Amino acid sequence: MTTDGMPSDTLPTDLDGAVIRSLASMLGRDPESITTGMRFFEDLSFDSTGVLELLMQLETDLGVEFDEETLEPADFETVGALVAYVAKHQAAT
Amino acid sequence: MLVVSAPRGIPERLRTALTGSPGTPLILLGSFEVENRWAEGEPGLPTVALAGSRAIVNRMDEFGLLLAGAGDHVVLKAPPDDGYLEYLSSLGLSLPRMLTVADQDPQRVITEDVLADTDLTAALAELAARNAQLWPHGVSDLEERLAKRCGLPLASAPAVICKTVNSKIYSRLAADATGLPQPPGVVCRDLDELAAACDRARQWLSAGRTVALKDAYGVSGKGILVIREERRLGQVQAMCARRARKRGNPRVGIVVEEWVPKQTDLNYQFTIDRDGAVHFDFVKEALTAGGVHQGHRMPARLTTGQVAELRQAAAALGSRLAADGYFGVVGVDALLTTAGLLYPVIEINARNNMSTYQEGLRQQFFAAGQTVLAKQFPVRLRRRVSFAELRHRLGEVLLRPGASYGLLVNNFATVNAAAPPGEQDPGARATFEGRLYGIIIAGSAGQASAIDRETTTRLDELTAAQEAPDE
Repeated sequence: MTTDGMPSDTLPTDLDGAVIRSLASMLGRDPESITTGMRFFEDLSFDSTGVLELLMQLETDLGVEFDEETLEPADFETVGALVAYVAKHQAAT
Repeated sequence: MLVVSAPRGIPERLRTALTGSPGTPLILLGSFEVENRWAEGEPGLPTVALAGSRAIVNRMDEFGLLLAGAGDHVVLKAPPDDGYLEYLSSLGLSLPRMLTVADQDPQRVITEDVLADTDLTAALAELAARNAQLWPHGVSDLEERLAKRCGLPLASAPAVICKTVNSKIYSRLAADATGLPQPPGVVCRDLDELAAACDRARQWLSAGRTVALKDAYGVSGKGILVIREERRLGQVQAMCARRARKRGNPRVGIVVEEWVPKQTDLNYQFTIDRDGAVHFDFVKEALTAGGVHQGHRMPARLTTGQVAELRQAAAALGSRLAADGYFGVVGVDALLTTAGLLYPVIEINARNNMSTYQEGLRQQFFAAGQTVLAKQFPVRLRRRVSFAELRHRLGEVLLRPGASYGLLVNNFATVNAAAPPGEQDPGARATFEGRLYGIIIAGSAGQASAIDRETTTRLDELTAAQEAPDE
């Protein structure tokens, strides 16, 4: 369920900001308009192709390689969930 | 004034094609997520499926109510809203017998719900004894399992054939074999073919053209990656190679095509009977947004020559599909480019299509000379809405008994499908997305557009009314 649009109650970490910037660049939006609480499907109109595009954008921007087979649908439930996945993935590699 | 020119429901010819007899009762099962089932484990585009609209798609089962005839049965995840049934009856529609799941899971496809409901499977087994056949929206191993458990014959080709025919790789190869024109492209069944395709795609990109990578089992217009820069092509190729190394299997299921500038999306349907005879049913303009289906416009704005081309394509494709063991409904996506070129096969759908469910209404509601627009309307809600409330909001926009224009709601279950479970707090601030499906019947394109706009306005008012703190 969505929030009523208010930002999350913590300041963006570097990784939060980096993921949001990549997402904003891909969507052609102002990064300020995206919060970690936003849902990919309901709030950002994402589908599976959008997921692939974002993964490629993050690979370029963060200099990582993703193994999409380790991704679960829950990792793409919200922007924050994806940040957590990227953080875990970066820590592991 | 409504003109009732013929009984509605499943055309006799279609019933005969599906079952071998014009009198066989059918049990409709809205397995609308069948393409997800077919895609499981397939090495398409490297991505993850979002849960997203699953709850809504799973409630598309309600479309069966307006296709089935009075002697047929429709299996549903939940009982329809009483107000909605009263509305349909007021329009003169004879409703089929409804069989509902006792404990549906919004995230589960209807077939899985039914398999878990022993009372319902017993009821279906009784219908088998009365000569009924099971007609799913699409057939996977799940629907075959259900048919077997209930002793019901399937009014469909086997799942393995349906799945094969539904692949975009099959579509391209079938078009090649029958000499039908299609956008430049190649099929990729393994990493070597993908590498060769990407080399060719780089040439298109260098020439300033756009490339599309299509998941062979992409669901309903999704699974299409549009690429305009070489770097992205390399990234996808590398992702596929990593996945193949990890799986120890070089298999891939992707089509690489030149992305052609499109003027009109088209959808046509033909039916193949069990003896291989092919019958062209109709062609409609498909309305799409971002590659995703939004509805249909009837009649399609095509020349008689273009319609003739589609009929010829249907005959050629139908013969090939019949030779490969397929029978039943076939939906084909086609397109007209901005240069006026007709590509008669972009994708073959080995299942029912959205337009299949509209045919039960054609003879009763769509008069000659009218414009018909079948659409889906997004609606954001804070709590469930009854059909009575929706009917009140839509007011004179809704098609009324005896009227010749208005919005005919052909699926209401999808409006509340994604509502959170249990009783809702009237003060809750959380929202959920719903979808209202309706068919706009109008005397002209202008009137259809006006009804379209007014429907959207009324639904926005519904959203606003739920957001007001006192409601």
